[in-house]
Amino acid sequence: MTLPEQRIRLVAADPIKVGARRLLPSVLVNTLSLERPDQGVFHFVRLRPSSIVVEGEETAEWIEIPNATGNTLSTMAAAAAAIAVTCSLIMAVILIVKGPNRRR
Amino acid sequence: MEAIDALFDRLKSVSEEVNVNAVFGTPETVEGKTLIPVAEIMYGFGGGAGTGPAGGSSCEGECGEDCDCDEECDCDGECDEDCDCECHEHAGDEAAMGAGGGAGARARPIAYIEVGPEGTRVQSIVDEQKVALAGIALAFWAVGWIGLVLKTLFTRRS
Repeated sequence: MTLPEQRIRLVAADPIKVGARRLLPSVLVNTLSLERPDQGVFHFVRLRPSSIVVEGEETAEWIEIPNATGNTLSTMAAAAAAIAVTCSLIMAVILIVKGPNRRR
Repeated sequence: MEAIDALFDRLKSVSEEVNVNAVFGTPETVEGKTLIPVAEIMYGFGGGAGTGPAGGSSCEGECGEDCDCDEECDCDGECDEDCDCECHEHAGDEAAMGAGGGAGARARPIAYIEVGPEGTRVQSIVDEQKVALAGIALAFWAVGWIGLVLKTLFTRRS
């Protein structure tokens, strides 16, 4: 069985002209594809904006484009994992303090 | 099969035509500021096709009460020892063929770029519904674990 081929590229999009400023956006392109006639064809692409470079008349500024929803969900997932680990440790300590089970 | 291959080639070429510029929307001027919507785009397609052998075989003939001639056979001479069925091979003109596939796309706004006289900044867009659902799930998760701790704490060990 062949695994899908994954490619991750950072691609520059076309510049956007706004007044005297020029915005140079970049996009993270994540491609997952499988092309095997006997197993089938599969192609998945995810385009995620990464950052923009704002070029003024004399200055240039790099601005990241954050994924606020993704960051929030990641924080919640980390909190869920921390809750599970902490509660497991507390339960282990409680069982140790209470001593061994005397029931036969 | 050529039609299926052509369909997949066409889908692939369409997906390659969707370039990275689709992520950034058309700039709009609102109250002296230029806003550029930014979206995350996902799309994909998949499918498969297969062929079977040409022709086939079937049992035919006079049947008794317990005989069933209406089934495929291996054409090894007899379909059933107790039945008077005969196995016939059918030479098909074309091989059996089947194919299936699917495709989908999604665009989700994640931010907008605000270009004004005071500078350029990126404002994130939070998917409040998704965050609220995740928050509710996290609350249930926490309550469940705290309940387990309390149960462990107050359960008397004999």
